[in-house]
Amino acid sequence: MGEMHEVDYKIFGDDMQFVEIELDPQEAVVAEAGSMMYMQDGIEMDTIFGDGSNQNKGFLGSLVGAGKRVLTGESLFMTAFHNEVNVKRVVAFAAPIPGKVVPVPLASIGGEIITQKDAFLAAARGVEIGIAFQKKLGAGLFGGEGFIMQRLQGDGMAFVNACGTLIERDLGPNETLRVDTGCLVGLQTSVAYDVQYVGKVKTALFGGEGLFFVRLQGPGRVWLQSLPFSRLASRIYAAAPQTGGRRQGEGSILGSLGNLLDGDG
Amino acid sequence: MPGHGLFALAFGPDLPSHGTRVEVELGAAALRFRSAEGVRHEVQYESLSSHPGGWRGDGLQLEWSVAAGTYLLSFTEAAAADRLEATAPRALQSRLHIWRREQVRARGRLRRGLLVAAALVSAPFLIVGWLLLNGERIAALAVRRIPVEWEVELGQQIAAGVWSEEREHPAGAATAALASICRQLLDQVETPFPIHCHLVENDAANAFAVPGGTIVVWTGLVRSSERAEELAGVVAHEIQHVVQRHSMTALVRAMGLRAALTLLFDSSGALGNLVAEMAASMGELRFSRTQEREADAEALRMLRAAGIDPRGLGDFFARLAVTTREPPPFLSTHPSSRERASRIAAESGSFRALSIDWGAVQADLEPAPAPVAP
Repeated sequence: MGEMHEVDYKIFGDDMQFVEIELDPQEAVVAEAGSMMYMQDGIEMDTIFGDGSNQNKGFLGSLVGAGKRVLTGESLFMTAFHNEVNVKRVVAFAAPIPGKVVPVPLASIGGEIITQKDAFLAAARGVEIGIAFQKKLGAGLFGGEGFIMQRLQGDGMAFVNACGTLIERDLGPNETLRVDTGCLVGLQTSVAYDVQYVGKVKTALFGGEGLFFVRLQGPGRVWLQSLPFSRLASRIYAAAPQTGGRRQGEGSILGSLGNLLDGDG
Repeated sequence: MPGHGLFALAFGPDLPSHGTRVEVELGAAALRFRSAEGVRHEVQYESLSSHPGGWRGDGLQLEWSVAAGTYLLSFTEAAAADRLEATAPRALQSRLHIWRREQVRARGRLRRGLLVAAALVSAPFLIVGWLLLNGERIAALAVRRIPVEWEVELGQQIAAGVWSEEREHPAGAATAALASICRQLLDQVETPFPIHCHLVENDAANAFAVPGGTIVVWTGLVRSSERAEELAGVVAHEIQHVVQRHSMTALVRAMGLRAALTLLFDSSGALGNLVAEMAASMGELRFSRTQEREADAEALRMLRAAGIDPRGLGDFFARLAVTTREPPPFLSTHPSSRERASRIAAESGSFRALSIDWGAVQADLEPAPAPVAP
């Protein structure tokens, strides 16, 4: 699996976080193109075609890596940041959506996790960022994550981000957890991931949870987000004046009258 | 990284809750592994149970319970599970049968699921295809329920748009001839539509029927006709388009198709728009080949009933076939002129000639002499 680069890091912020990574001399991290926030002197940037894990596999290898990244909806390129001087230097990466950044020490959790598309923020150089195909039709169609997911493989530290609050939860053998579709961010490969019908027609139609839950069965660790980005986006879109959104909280006469009527005060 | 070992993620009461990666050894009667902390675990094969597991269900999980809790080994890569099966001693093989049976079932489920998905994806296309093929019959059924007055009103609006700017030919031998033909033909049909024939100045050899009863004949058509029976044939054909309500059927069909496309494909989707545009351009207010054939057949019947030689229409098509180059029939909305001419040529019988002075009609249509330059 090649050599992994150990990284020290510090996460800043409350709800819109960024991670500052300290690089020892000659250490490197790879990050999603465009996520760099700041970096000190001595850190060199290098654009990599593909995911940076198979730099010694030649052009074809990186072409395959790049193709996989396109499938997961990310840019063709990633950026590697390496420390070219003899002292420690820091570089920071910010999440593109409001949410938490969570460190995932791949080495201690079996060397592999599956995440939703776009969850990857940055990782120690040597971590392979690939794709994984869901083979269960139900989970692929109704699980909220689609058929293509991201696979982070390696022994280094990886940082994932998601919208809202991101938590990790360990499930014991055969322990199950039902999760709203779209709230699953990542899971260890040992966790069973499937969809389950909500159970009642009334609930399915009016319960607001949709037709299916995601059903996760342990053992293993899962990462959950409190707010799927699409949900946030649809609320913002619905509230935008251009789409006929209500101008709540603007204090106009009509606005307050409208608010009285619809109970938003 | 040690090469060819059999690795699994191990969970258990004395192991980390997020599991730990272990190398599994297969003994003669027991399975052994050592945790990261160096604690040895050993389990007899007969106390193991197997089941499929992992995030996409294609992994293998081995499970056993002790007093302290449940242990579980997860082989998530299909390759690792297959390797375990290949190298497992007989005692372990017998413990893997549940997993193997479930694997086969899962494969069947996937195949059935893919079939259902394929059916769901192709269903809209099948429905649209069916509508394209049978839309006319369905539309004709619907048109029967549309009041004639609506069609007349719609026709008046269309007529105003289509030929109001064009000049109607002044009263004379030509208009009288057309009126006479029109009257003779209309005596043979029972129709609620108020049908009127108009002669309009235009050099193109064409005639068309506006829904609701207005029939427009261009002077070019009269000029290119060699005898009155040819003109009568074409007029009969156009009258039948009105009587059979072909325009309305085409309109209803196009609208229905558009509505179906919007329902089946998301109207905001690019594909839906594209399909809708294509279908609309194919169907909109043009008569289909079936309608043209129907109009031809009914026109012949009407001509014969009126005692007019139906071969006039055939002659017209025969000349059209010679003078114009036509696309192959399957690409065209009209049946080919040659095909239509040959069908009509089979008509026989003796008919009296129309009592119209065709020479006077042609003289009436002669373009006024160009003013001589001073």
